[in-house]
Amino acid sequence: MPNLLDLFQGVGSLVESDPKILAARIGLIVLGVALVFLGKKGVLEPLLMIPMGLGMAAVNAGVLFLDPQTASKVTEQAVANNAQVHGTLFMAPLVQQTDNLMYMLQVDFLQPIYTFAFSNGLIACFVFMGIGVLLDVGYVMARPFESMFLALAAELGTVATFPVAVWCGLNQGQAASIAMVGGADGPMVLFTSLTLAKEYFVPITVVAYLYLGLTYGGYPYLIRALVPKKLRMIKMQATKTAPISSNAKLIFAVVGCTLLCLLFPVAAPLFLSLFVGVAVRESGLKDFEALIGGPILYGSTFFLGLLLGVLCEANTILNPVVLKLLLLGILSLLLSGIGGLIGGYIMYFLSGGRYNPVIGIAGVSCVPSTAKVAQKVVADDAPGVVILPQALGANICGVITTAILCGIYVTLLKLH
Amino acid sequence: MALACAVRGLVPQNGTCLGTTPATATGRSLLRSPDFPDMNTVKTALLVFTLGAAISFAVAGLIMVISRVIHFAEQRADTKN
Repeated sequence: MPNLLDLFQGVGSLVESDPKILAARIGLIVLGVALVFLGKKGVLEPLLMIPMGLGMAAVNAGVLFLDPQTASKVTEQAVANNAQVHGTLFMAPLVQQTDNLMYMLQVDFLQPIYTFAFSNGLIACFVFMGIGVLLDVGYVMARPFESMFLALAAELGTVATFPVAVWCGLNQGQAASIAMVGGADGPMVLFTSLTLAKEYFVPITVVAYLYLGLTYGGYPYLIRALVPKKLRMIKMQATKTAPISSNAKLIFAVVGCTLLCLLFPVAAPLFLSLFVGVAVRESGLKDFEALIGGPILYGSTFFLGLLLGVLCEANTILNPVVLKLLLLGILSLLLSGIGGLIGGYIMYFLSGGRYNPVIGIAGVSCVPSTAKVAQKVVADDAPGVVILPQALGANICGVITTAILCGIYVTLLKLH
Repeated sequence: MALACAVRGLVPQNGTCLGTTPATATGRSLLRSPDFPDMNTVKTALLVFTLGAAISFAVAGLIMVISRVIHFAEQRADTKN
């Protein structure tokens, strides 16, 4: 009669775990289920949270006792025959040696996607291509300086969190990576952490995506707390702007991409990915647009969510640095929101009280969530007021300024 | 105090946070300074922001020039036609 705990190894490994790991595994299973629930309810971004939550629950439930051969490949050390090593059949993110990696590629079902698409930033670039296809740079071209100013103000968290994170004991690469959460751009955080803080890219990216899911629910409270109702109801004057042709948008994409790649070669994959999406959209290549904006964007988002969830193993999350990352991430996003609203207030005073300061929050580049949040909060108080064109301009500029700051951080800190 | 120190990975003692940090090439103290901000990282942050602002506004200027030039060229083409 076999031991029941050997038969049901998920339960067996749970019973045999260290109490800390046991608590973390149960906590993460509950959190994963909660993320699926909140995603379904629309409180958090469902496209990301549903695969992420289920992945998180599954990876912490599906822990088994690895056979000695697989265990030695995963741990990259010799394992005694009777030693019991816990592991999963999802993926082994820490395997480095080529032979071990080749072995794991044949064992773990998500290992090929992790190795060939996630850990080299390809999936982040795919998401960026999709964002590029969705962006209408016409909103930026209609009022470039105003939009860029708001976007810069909304980078307060990206800049101010950096010294705070170093003060908290992180090195400069890790500090820059967690500070990038303030840019509210998931692919950018993934890219920065892969480049500057590979050892913590899993918790940093998980923290970033968790918080990006929260902006939709959290920023309305920030707006209502910092902008009085009277100012939220300011009606934007319709300004007459020259129509912007697709030729102008295409030329901007080509010149902007080339120039930014020339300035920051380390971030060139991101710039190319963003602007190739814009170029495809403005060139009228409908089939490519459908491919990038459909299967590539949604396929990448799905696997990004699933892999992030599967990466949330108890051992990874129990790292004491994660607490710091959680606090610094929320600080960065909060400061960026406040910075955006300060930018909105500056525009309000410069325009003699004719500018709705709520537009400032859209400078936080979570496309298009923050622009939609700004419009929704304003429409709740004054249903006839439309700020979406200005908000989308600031929102798209936010993507550009975040990419620029990412390029500067990566370049500067790699030089050190 | 205890939480503030724990977040920084340090130990609270006599109203300050103490703990060891790796010795640096510049010969800084092995005890982490409780002072905030560290001027070097603040300077780096300011440099990042200044460069970012300069490049962002340069991009905004570029956008404006491209819009104007294309608009002008299209108007001329329309007039010729």
